[in-house]
Amino acid sequence: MIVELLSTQPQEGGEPVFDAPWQARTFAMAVKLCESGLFSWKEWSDRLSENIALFEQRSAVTNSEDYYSLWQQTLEQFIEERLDPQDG
Amino acid sequence: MSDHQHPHHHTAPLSEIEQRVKQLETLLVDKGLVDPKAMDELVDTYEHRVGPRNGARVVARAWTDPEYKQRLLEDATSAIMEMGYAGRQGEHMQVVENTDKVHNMVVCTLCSCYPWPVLGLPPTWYKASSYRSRAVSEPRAVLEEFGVNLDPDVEVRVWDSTSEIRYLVLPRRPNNTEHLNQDQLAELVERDAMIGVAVVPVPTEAAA
Repeated sequence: MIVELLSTQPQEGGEPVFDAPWQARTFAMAVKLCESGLFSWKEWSDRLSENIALFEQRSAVTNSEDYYSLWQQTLEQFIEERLDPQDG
Repeated sequence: MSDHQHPHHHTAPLSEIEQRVKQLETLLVDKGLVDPKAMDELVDTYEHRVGPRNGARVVARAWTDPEYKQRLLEDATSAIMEMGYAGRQGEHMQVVENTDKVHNMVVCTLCSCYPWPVLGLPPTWYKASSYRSRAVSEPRAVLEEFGVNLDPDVEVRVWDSTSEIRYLVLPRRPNNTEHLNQDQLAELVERDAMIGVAVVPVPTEAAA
């Protein structure tokens, strides 16, 4: 990202990008772990899609909280599966 | 398609989801896998620095520079990078042009794939079940709800974004804008027009 070329630009329509601080944290953790190689973005999207599809069998994604809860769930699954418990 | 916001518990203890997120962050920080400061910077970037103004500048340039427009339609990723907008979720871009015969709209039916470098993070309605299913099953009805009433002869094309390809709509340039420069034109272009659920309105007053 060439940051100096980007000007300050809040989301249009007054809608905040994140509804609550935890949503921003789970977003940032996923992006950072993808960048450090724990999963590829394709793997991330595929798993998130599966989780959304399962959720939609009983409910609907209607707000940011629903959406980022699914993001958090996806993140927890990757951590559980791929993070070496001995590490650290 | 309204976005409901839930009240936050300012005095109550952390909610279940807040606890889970906090626990996970603590674990990852302890293991040295994420840096909280780098996370802050990332959040700041997408809250304040990257958003639909980037896409609007791409659109305005395409409206005023025919050679750029051609490059944009042939190889959107490179043409957008030329403007300095590159990075996460912009690796494989395609621009689809609205004409008097074709109206394009973009969805991600499975999750929320979206061109971050030019539009920022998606609005809530884009991620909602309702839009994701109805954009495909009844696109015209959805467009009407967004206030877009197309001539019946206009073909609607719906593009399903994936983690491999992301779409940006090049809206039609409104009439009575011949005397506006690129910056003034960019001011007219809103996010929803680049997702294809709005048209760019004719400006109410001529060049200010």
